[in-house]
Amino acid sequence: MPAVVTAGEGLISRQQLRAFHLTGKGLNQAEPEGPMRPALLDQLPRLASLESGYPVYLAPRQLPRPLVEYLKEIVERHASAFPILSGQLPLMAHAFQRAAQDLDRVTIGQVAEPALAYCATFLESLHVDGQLVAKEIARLGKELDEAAWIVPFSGRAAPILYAAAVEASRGSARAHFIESLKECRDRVRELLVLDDSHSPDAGSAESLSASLGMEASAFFSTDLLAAALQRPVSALHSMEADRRLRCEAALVTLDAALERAAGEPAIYFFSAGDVRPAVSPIRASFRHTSTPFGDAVEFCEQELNRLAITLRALRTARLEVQTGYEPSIHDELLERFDWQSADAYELAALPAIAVLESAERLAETSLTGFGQALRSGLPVQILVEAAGLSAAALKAFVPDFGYLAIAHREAFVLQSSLACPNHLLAGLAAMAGSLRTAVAVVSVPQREIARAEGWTETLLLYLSHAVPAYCYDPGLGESWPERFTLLPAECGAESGEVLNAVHAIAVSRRFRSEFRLIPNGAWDGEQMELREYLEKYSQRAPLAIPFLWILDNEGNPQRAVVTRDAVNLCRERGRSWRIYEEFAAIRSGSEKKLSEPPDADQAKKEGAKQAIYRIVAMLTDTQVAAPVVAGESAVAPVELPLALAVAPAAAEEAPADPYIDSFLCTSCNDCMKVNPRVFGYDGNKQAYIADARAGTFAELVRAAEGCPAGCIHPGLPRPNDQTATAQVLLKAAKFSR
Amino acid sequence: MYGLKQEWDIEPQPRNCTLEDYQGAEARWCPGCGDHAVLSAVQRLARDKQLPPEKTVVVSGIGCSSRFPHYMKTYGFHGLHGRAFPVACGVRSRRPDLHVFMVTGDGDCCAIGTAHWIHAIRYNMDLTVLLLDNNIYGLTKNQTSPTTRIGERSNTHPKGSFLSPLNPITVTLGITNASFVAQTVDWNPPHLYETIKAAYEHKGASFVRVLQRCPHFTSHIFAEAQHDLSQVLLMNHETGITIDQPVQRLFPNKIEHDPRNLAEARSLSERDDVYPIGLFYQNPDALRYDHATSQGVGMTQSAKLAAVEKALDRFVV
Amino acid sequence: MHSAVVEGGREQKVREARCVNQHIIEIVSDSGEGAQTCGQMFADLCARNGNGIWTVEIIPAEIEPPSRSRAGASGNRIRLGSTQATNAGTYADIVIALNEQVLYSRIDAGALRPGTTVFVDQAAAENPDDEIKHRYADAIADFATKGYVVVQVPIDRQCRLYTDDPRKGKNMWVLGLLCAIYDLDEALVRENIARRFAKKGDALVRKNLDLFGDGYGWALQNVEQRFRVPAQRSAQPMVVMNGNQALALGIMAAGMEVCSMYPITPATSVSHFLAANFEQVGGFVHQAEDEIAAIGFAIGCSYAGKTAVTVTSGPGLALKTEFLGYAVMAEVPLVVIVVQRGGPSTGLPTKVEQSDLLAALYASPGDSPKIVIAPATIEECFHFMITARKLAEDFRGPVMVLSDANLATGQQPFPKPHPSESWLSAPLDQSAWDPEIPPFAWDAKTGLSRRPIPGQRGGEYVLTGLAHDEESHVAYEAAINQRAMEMRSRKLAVLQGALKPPRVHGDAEGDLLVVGWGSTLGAIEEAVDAVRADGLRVSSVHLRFLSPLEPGLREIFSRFKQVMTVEVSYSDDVDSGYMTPDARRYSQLAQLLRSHTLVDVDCWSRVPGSPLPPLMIEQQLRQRLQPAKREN
Repeated sequence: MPAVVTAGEGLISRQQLRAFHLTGKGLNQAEPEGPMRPALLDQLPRLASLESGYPVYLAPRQLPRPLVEYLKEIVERHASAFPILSGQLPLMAHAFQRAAQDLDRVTIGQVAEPALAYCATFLESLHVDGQLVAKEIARLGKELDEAAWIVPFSGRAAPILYAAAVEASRGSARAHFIESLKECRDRVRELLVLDDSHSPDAGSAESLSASLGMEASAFFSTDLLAAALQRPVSALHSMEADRRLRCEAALVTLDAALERAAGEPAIYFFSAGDVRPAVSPIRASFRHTSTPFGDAVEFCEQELNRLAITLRALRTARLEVQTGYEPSIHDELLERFDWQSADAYELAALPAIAVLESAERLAETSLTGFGQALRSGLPVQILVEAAGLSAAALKAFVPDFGYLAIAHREAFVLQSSLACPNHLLAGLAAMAGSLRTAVAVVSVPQREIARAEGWTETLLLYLSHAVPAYCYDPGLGESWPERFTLLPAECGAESGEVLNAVHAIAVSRRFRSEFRLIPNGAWDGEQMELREYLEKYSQRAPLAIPFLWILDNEGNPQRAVVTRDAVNLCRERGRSWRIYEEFAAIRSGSEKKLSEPPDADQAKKEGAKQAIYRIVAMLTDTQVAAPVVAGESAVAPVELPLALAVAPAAAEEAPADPYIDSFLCTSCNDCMKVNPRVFGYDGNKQAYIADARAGTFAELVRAAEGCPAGCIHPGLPRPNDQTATAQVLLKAAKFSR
Repeated sequence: MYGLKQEWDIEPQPRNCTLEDYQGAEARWCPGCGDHAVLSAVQRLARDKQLPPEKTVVVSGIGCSSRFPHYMKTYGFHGLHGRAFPVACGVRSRRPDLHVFMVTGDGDCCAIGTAHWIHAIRYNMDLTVLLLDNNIYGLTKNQTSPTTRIGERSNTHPKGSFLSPLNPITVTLGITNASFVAQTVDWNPPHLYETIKAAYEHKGASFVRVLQRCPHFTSHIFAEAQHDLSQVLLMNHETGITIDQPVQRLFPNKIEHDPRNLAEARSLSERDDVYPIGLFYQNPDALRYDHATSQGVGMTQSAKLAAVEKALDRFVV
Repeated sequence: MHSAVVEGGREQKVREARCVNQHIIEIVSDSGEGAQTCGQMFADLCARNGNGIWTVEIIPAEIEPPSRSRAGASGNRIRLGSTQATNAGTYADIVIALNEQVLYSRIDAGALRPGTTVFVDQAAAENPDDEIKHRYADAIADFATKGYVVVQVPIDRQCRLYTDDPRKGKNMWVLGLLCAIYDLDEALVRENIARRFAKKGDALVRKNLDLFGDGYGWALQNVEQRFRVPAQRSAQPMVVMNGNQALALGIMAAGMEVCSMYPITPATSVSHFLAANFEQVGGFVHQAEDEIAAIGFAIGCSYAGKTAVTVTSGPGLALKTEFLGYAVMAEVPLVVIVVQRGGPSTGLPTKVEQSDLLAALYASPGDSPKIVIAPATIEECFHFMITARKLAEDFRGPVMVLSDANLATGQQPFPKPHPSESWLSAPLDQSAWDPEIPPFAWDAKTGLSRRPIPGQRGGEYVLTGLAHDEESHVAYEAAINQRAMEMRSRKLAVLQGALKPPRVHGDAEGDLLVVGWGSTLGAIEEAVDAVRADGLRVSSVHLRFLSPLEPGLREIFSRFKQVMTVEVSYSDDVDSGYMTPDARRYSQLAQLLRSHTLVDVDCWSRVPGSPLPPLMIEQQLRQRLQPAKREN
């Protein structure tokens, strides 16, 4: 409870206050004894209401989501059955949170009873018809999936939420991958079985009598039969030795891979912390090591190389099954084949390899490992738990890990907070699915403090922008705005600006030495409300002592003077928030967004259309023109459609040279019969004039007459072609003029 | 870093099959026979679709047109008179990986094989069926076929055929579960090609009737239509058989016909003033029997063995 | 057990069970009264006990004949043995008739002998209709004069205590009666009933148990006959099934994936079983539009790499012959099952006959050599499927398997087969084919060759039913045709060369050799044994391979004074009117053996539409041996 300085001790001097503000020393008697309650919080909507994201509901193969959504689903499925409860979803979620709050995670079955009982009593206290409530609650109890797990808000929630996300987003890929391995394995087996059957010893008496069924020996002398059957020359060579070897090797590898896959966990955790994260029901293996990053990277390399080997076998097997393996090409391709050449689902099928690290340790000891992991470019996932703001944040420069990771450009980065579960869950899901190096910095409550207190602090850190929630996913595009999304912190009535980092640390025990409570006797004009102070503070700090309005137990306002360090922290956090806003192009970025090129290629499309129209237009012109030209002659176009259609130009006057509308030729061989040297077949086996000089005009005309498609046009006879009698010329006129 | 080499894909090297790769023995049909046109259209299609010759099967019955398989350099099945349909269905039944063409004639399909024709259409297995209809028995030398027109003389009806011809299109359109019914002519290769292409691309039993003359015995039947295309009615539709402009322009008579419209298809098929060509009817959603027949294809030996054991156990006393 | 007539219903002193080493029971009723279910269950129970059994269905000609009609008998004959039962035997020892009229059809069929105990439902006696009453009374009197031991049983009355529709209940009651008579362990039976009807709900189970219990109790009180057929349970697990089920399971065990058929009695039930179970092994039953399409579809499937089976009976076989010829000519592996029935034409659709032998061998245009085999037992029905598929593939052609209505519906226990991977057809071969090797690279010595399968690159060829050369190119040249014919025929010679001579049952030489094939095995050997027991020198040979014929027949025949076949098919009797030795037509196997061995093989055959009873055969053998004896 906040301390009050008794009048008996005399007034506090300005010097003392100033000294404290600048150095953080002195006036120890006025140091608050515990977390304080900034007056501002009362203007915010009930913080608890922001809590309904908990507990989180985990169902096998499903992404984790707030229990309230699951409940919503149920009551909506049977809308008529839950007239009352359908209006009370947050209450029910709260009831489960209450029932489970002291546990890391628990099955619905274990807590359903107390939770539902709580709902019942609560609703009855609201004078709702008790029987109806009881009825609905009973019904709901039946509908609930007792085996499913729920995770309440707690300092230990992050790892299991992450694990659940991995299980959900990679499970199907894994199943699919294993299926394709099996399929391929079976096919290669068949290949080998068949090859055995091609080999000469396949026809051995033993194998023969085995394959003839049990009665065989009674009726056959199988060695005689075998001898007879062996005679036929086998049209099927057994495989070349090296192909056989390839298949056998692939088979071995695939079998091994399948065997291993059966025993694998969904996640390998590496951590320097000795607390084993409780993540059941998800299968995970936990490795305690002083160098988690190094070990994870090394292990990841191993796994990926192993995967590459499996995949090489898989590719080889596929090729062999399609008899498409060509050593000249594929040997070398497969030589170069490594994990980076894998398909996405194949990589996703790997168990996740994750480093579990606390912000403190990361800052103090393992930053180098962190960098190494980022540089590796391997799909290692890093889960950083930041419990509150570190006390060091005031005295020294503490790196912003999210920022560091983003600087790497190609890594997936999530910064989020247990206090904004929807953002966190979505982010973890995206991370679990990502095949890049991925970092998640999750703001969690300090473990040692009470749940409610932890909640308030975590929430305020987020709402005050001290710990922003954002996601950076290089997979989403090229530009910053595409890759980076910032979650605007909304705390209800007033804008995020109202709250600042100092409010957040005010509610934390860790930072009470940064505050002094001064009795109203000591209030004076030199003291300035923090917000005003910050606004005045452009270059130089105003000559005033900033304070924060605090409420004591009786709800009386108190002034809590703040140290310079706290103010600096506050300003530093404010600046970084604005930087993130720029990343997200929420301010200046927004204009960039507008000027992006869709219009440009829209224009391209337009241009293309125009071009097409123009071409079409040209075509149509000739269409119109052709008949007109033809019109000169008395012959109706119907009689000459082919000539017109195919060679409009030709319509003007009869061409001297013979030609064939090849595309109309039916390949009927008729003209070939007339003279195989004059006529030939093109690449489509359709006739064309191979050599007009190789035959007579009469032959051309005879061919034209015989042609069922009427696509041969004899043209005009060459001078001194004796066969071009008047009669022949008359016939020829039918086909050309 | 993942994603850099993603486009790497290790696939069997594509082969490039040329027309020659599909050309079998020298075709022995009479010069001027429409079968030549169909043959080279099919060979062109095979090349353009790059069908692996070893994965392509051409099934036929008996008759001039049924020599077809011998002239393809693929797998072929030159079967019994009228029995091409059951064989083709059998080939397809357990081999979804094959491309199955079936060639039959008006005698083969519409006389001795009628029962199979009707049921194969109803089975709607994925086949490309080509009915080469020249209105006559050619191989056995000029006997009346079910599609011979009244009055046509033949060795079996020297005074001319008595009966009005059977119309394969109206019959097929009347069969339950028919899914693709088209008609084309041998003397317009572009349309012939596009029709066969559409038939091949259709998943199900696609029935194509090719109107053609027999240069020997019925050389006259489509003579006028060949030179006066106004006797042909071109059925057009965006979902139908599309031929490019120059060819379109050859046909003075066109009609827009939606292949989904069965009633209209039936009435068009009954027109006797013109030869409608194009796609009469298509139903891509028609039930396919080969989906049922191919269940369990590729089951592993060990799985089979286990199942047999289980079946036997039920009889143990 | 030639005791006097016993009036049913009155208290009797219970006697000790008489021990017999075999017994024949018949249960007959109007069809639809479930006599067959009852028979099946009783047979199964006995088989479980370790008894040898053979059951045959008694099937009325029509599906729903009028009730209480002489023609309408439907039911089962069950032959129990302490050792394996190989046939249905001759005379029934006990007949249970649900009405007195159906019994007549069995009497007419010669199934009863004086001394047979007949249990008759006395319902008719209590029938309001006087006409029925009288016919019943007459019948009972008639039975007595025929020398049957008649027991009148109030089956209908008792059943009405538990159900309003006794037609549905009688079978359980009768089962009770039988179990009491053959003193089967009641608990075992109850447990069996419970299991069998579990699916249909407790109510029904309870009702059936009550009915069973009542029948059992009634028999204990009122029936004096008790029999025990000692049994020894075999060490290895046994299966009980009928021939068609065995064929179907054989098809599955042989790795065949397609059965293409058209419904025809009595073959259809093979496909019934497959339709229900084939998918478990990835198989599929195609019911074609007709018999021709059925085999065409199968051939298409085989050509594409999956050897298929088609199942039919005589009339269907007639329709398939053109395609059969094609399969021979184009050398397509194919298994054709023919479950024979009475012919010619539509003949006797539900009845037993063996007269499609020559049709199977020769009924194709031109010379069409093919393999024809015939299982003689239900166990062989199973195993021959594996053999047939293998031979079809290795010898590249159709293999015909001749069963008949007797095997089809007969049930017999046999050791449970242990399927092995080598029984299954190899997975589809898609490996590259050596283009140098033609599709019919006939081996000059054996005529055998390997076939390319669609999908095998380099093996592209066109199959044809026309005369063709090694390349499968159509060829009309004399030399090529001669050689191709020779190659196709040679394969049979090769197969025969690998066959063992048939085993002779009895002494290797003697006065008379009986030759049989197919389902008559048990009856013939039983008859032979009976005659040999009297010191007569008779032996028998039973053929499984009809084409090629098993080797060494001429030599075996030469060791006997007389050789005769016994068949269920028609042949002229020598002494029948107008008959001369020249005019006489022999039964089919006899014709085949005569032409094949040049031995004067005689025959005795009958076409009763039912299996030949051993006793009838026995009498024939004794007759034949009279002259032989005189000569000595």
